[in-house]
Amino acid sequence: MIRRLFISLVIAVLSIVPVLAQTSEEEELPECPIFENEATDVRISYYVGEGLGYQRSGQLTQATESFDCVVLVIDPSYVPGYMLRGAILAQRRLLEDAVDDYTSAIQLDSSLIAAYNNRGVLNMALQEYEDAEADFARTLELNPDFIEGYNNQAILSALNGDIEGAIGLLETAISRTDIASILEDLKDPERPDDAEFPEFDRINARPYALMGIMNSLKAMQNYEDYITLTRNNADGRIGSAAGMLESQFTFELRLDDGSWLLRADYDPFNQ
Amino acid sequence: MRRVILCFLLCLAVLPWNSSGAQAQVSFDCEDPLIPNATPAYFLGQGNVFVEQGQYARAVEAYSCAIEGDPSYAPAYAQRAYAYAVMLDDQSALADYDQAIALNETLVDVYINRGALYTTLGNFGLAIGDFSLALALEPDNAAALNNRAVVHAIEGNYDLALADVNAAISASPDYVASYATQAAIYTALANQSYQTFVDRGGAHARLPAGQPVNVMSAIDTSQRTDDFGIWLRLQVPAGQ
Repeated sequence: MIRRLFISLVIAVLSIVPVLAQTSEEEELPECPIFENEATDVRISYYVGEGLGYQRSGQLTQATESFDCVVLVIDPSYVPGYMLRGAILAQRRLLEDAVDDYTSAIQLDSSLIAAYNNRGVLNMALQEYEDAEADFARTLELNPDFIEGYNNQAILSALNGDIEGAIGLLETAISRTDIASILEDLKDPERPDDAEFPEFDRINARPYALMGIMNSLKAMQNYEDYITLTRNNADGRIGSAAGMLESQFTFELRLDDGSWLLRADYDPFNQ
Repeated sequence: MRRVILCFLLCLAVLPWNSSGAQAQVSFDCEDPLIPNATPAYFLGQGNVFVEQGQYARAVEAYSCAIEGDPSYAPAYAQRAYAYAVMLDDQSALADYDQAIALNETLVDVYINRGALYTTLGNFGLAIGDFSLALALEPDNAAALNNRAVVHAIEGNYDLALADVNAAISASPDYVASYATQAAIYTALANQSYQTFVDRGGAHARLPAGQPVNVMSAIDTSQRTDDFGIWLRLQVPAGQ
């Protein structure tokens, strides 16, 4: 039953993504009359502010039009404009158009880690796994301490069936920061109850969550192997444990809405 | 097994941008702009979206952020004044309009909006003054002409009102508000003529084509059907 659910979800995702990607709209030069006679930085500031206002209220088409003003009319070389519009297009599920925007940003600034990372995430959604791999690899070339790059690359690795490789990447991510020592300190039985909770970037903790999932997948694989080998004679407790694990994936980890796991950085300057 | 992995990872892969939608209900504050070298216009853009959505209090907050960033930025006062005016905070609106004009006396829209507020408050002289200042800067500004026509009409100066509204229509034939104003002025003139008929014909004088509201309806029918019967009722024989 659960397996059928997973299979139908796979089919649903595989069938939806290309359709969504095909709904891209042709770019037309918009009218951008506000502050038409003002300096470029004023006009850009206005339309970026407007676009973010629309984006935050869920008016994504209008937000796209605001950023169209920035990159199509006011300044086609304005990198943040492509980054911001790319994020909106991704929200609208215009995935290929979003990829194009991140590519434009990269062409203008080849050191922009967020652009490679976000494009990698989109390439995963488009099942362009080699392109995604190249993008995540590039983020780590540019910054070996870019933890999101390890996390995303680990997910890609698992997707390609290499769970051990994924775990290796997550272990590397953990080793690149001081998160392990922070964890050790928090688990220290001698730690005073009123000790201040340490400050750290929460992204550095994510490899642990992903590693938990990878290990659960390994466990489920072991259970399934056992059930396959023992058929009707399988120990009921193992069958029950396997079922509970699958339920965890569906209900507790909410992998049907797992956006909290795979990260795309919306802020081109927050690196 | 591979299918399970494939499924959940693909589910993840198509959903990462959902989370930003959760920002929709976050209250507005003067955040650091998301782009480098942002000018106060950044907050104006956000504020104008709030106005468009009818969230005037949040718009005021956004415009205040622009003013906080640059207290001499006249457009922010102008926009905040408009938001205050819609919220019926007349004194704050007037203060901001005044400040906007003090900082930049060429902001035509500010004169127009302050004039509209003065009209609402019954200060017709000040309203006419503001619309006239706007027209001194932009003689063909249809909104200023239309609004001045409205004030003239309120004061019963229908000839001046018609002159302004006709000028507005000539200047901007696509500015539809002027046609509504023109119609209202003609309606006022119609009422004035009926009143003259009653005044001069006496209380029992019978309107030849019926009550004004019926005449209006009959003329509407006439224009659509070419039935000119209503006009015939207004003809009179010689010597009567």
